[in-house]
This record gives sequence, structure tokens and C-alpha cells, in this order.
Amino acid sequence: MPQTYEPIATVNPSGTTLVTFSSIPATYTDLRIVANVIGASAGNDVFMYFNGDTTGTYDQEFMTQNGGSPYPGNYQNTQYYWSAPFSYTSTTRPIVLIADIYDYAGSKFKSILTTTGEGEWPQFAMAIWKSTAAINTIVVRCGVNFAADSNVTLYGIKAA
Amino acid sequence: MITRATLSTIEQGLPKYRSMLAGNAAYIPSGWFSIATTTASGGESSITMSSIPSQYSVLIVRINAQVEAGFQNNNGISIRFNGDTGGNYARQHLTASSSSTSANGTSGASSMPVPGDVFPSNTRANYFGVAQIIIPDYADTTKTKSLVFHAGMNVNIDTMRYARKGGGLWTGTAAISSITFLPQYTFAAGSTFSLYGAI
Repeated sequence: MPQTYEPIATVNPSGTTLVTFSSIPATYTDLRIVANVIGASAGNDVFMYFNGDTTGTYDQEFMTQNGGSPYPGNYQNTQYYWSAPFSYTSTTRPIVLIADIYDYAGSKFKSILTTTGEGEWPQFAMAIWKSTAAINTIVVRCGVNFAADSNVTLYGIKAA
Repeated sequence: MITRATLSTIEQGLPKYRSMLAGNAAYIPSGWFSIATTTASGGESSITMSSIPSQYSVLIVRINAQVEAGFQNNNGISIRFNGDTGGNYARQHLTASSSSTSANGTSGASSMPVPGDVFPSNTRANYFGVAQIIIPDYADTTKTKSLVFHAGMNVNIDTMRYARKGGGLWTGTAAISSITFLPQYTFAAGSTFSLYGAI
């Protein structure tokens, strides 16, 4: 019985704001991004976009909090999937991000479930990329340069 | 030592290898393994995955679905284990929806409303709701079964936006050998239900 959850690629970025996974094979059912992001400076965000599309096609609903009441929010028609809103980069405290992209090679809009966490502002979200194109490229973008010890891994999940 | 594959090993489908060196313990690789996937053709009032093998530590269910509702709404999907229709299910969840939060719970239910009402109708082409459900120790025969889940849908044009996390309980102590998915109405064509086992 073959394993069905396997790493496609891992990047250890440093001195750049972009991690790009290109030529993603269409042979899986779903994709998962697992990222551990440390910023070269503090106070910036982590984004994601697909197939180079930055035309305002991302919607998301999320919930977060930081030592207080639950804080919900949503964004529509954004240029990027704002993967970890309120989780700002730190030079010492990694942002952990797990994003599941369902049926990434199919012809429906692409649904994404995301969980992020760090010392502050843990978040869960549901997002959608309003495109019927198969995802063949994913860019994970940091508002500042990734610092050394950051890592981003792309996994494939294959159903029977 | 040459180890002969036994019938039980083959029937279990468990990948197990013995080292070429005598005396070493059996090696069982960890990871996820696909058990089954069902795709709806449309109109199903339930979908059941049965004969779930007991060899894994954790079950993972992934859903990507629409419901045939005839109108755009947030429609529900519930689950039932081993065909148990008794009032043996409970669920609690937190939901973010259109910049508001809500918490909801139920107990003594005849099915578990998990993931619940986060699935669009097929009147909106291309919009599907998704969920992942994680069930540890599903094959245990001495304790009740708890699970956690993450789910959501986002049909912004209808202001139907939901992100949800929660947990559920089935008070049955039997090993889970079947899971039935129950839509609020009927499943739309192209809805998929994938079951994985993890070691």
C-alpha cells in the first residue's frame, strides 16, 4: 500500500521575500503547505498566491484572538491570500502556517483551510481562490525577507 | 532468515517489511495511507464508507462537497458511526461568519452535526465547502471516540462565509468500522469523501 502523504519540495529561504513552488504535478488530490516563517525584521505579513494571479480573486473568513475575545474577520477580492493576518513576522518567534488546498488540480474554485500560530494571534481560516485553473505554481510571500532557519514545505496528498 | 508473508498480513494490507538481517524487528513505515474515496454522482441521501480496517492509529476524513438544495444557503452534513442511530453524539464548535463569531453545541443527537452547515448548494457552480476530520484511536474497543475538525465555505457573492473549528464525541466504544455521511438534502455531483489512515 503506497504512502499517500509525501513531501514534494522543501525550501529554506533566506535573503528573499518569495518562495516559489512551480511545475507542481497534478497527480495528487490535495496539497498542503507547512511553513515556519521567521522575518529578517519584525512587523510584516505572510501571503500566498497561485499561478501568479494577483488580480483580486481571493476571499477569506477567519477567526483569531490575542488574550481577549474571539476576533472574526473577512477579506474579499484581495490580491493575495492573506494567509496569516494579525500574525506579524518576528526575528525570534516563528509563525507556523499549515494550509490545505483542496482539489488543486480540479476545475472548481479552490478552497483552502488554514491554521496559523505563534505567540500571539492564533488563527483559523477558510479561503477561496476564485479560479477554475489547476494550480501549478504557489508563491509564499513574506512582507520582509525570510530569515535563515525559515522553511516552507509543499506536500501532496493522494486519495485512492 | 527468510520470512514468509502470511495470509493475515496480506489481508490486512499493512505494509510491513523485515530486514534482511535476522533478528531485527518488523519495520512498519509511518505516514498517511489512502483507504477509500467516494465521489457522489448526485442525488444521494447518504454515503457510507464501510469495512474500515482497524490497523491504523488515526482516521482522517477529507470532504469537498456541495448539497443539492435548490437555493443558495449554508447546508449541513452530519456523520454517523457504525450505523448507530441512538442519541449518542455530541458536538461543540466555534464559527467565524461575516465578521461575527458564534459558538454552538449539541448532545444526545442521533448523528453528529460535523462538519455541519458549511456546504453551498449546487446552484452556485464551482463553490464547494471543505472539511477535515481527525479521529484518533478509532479502532479502540474500550473507550468513547472523540474527534476534532476544521471546515468552511466561502460564497462571498451571497455573503455566505464560514470558518469553523470544533470537536465531537460518539459515546460508542466499538471500533469504528463504518462512517455514513448525511446531507441536509442530497449530495451534489462531484462531491468527494476521502478516507485516510495514519500510523
